[in-house]
Amino acid sequence: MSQVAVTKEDQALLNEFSVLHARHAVMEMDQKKLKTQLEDVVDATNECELLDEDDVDEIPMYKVGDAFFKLPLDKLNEHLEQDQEQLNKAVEQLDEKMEEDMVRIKELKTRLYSKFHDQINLD
Amino acid sequence: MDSSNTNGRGIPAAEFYEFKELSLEEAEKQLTRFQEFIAKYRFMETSIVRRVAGLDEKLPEIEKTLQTVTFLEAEQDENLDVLYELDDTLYANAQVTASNTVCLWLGANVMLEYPVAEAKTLLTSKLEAAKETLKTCKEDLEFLRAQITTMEVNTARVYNHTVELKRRQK
Repeated sequence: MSQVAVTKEDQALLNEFSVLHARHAVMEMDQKKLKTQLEDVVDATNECELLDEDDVDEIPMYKVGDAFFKLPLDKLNEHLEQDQEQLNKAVEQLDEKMEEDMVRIKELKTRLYSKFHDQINLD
Repeated sequence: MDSSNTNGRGIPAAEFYEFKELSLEEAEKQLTRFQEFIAKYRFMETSIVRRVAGLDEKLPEIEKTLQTVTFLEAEQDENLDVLYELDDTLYANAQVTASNTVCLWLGANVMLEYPVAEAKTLLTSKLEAAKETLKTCKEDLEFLRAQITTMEVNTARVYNHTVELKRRQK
């Protein structure tokens, strides 16, 4: 056979690659969503820094669930800060997981390409 | 990725088909067998994908409710001005006093009143349960993906072997 035979161990590696590859695509989408949410919160925080706390009508309402609540400026800033912290943590955790997976994906690619060369396409 | 005989939810693992020599007849038989397996796996995949879609819809709802309950708990006894959703794209103004009870819609035309703390606990556990189910569904999907790949590679190897056989026979 001009082709390199696939062993059971190779199959396990191929499966792992397939799973990690699919997972990576999903995580990228989640990452994008989180980054957009974070940007929105940061923009909102910056907007609020320019506000006067006594000018009550200018203070935007804070969205909780599907409703908007009128809050004094200090409480609003507090909530925005908490939101930003939560989102930052989530982004960090996701980035970490993606890093780990990327390392393993690179490893698998090297091994599989070195054994199978042109017989497979991993991209 | 381990391949024990079944995964946690009883999905059978795909065997890696080993062979040395294979007659054309036997090969055809195996190829049909592999196709059947792939069809069964894909069917399971579709039903789990549907379940994931349902959960993806429910989860944000639970999160929003929990967020609202947590907010009310923090603003106890405060008078609040709120713009709430009366209907899709229709909002109305209201003045509310954050009470220490909330009413939760449990489905099936049932609504129960809960003290705020209890409501928060209930919603948190519902949220955790939904996230757990979502996690196992995603694991099942990954497992299925691996089994389908194994079957597809089985098919490719057996098919290549038949090509080799036919070439030898010439």
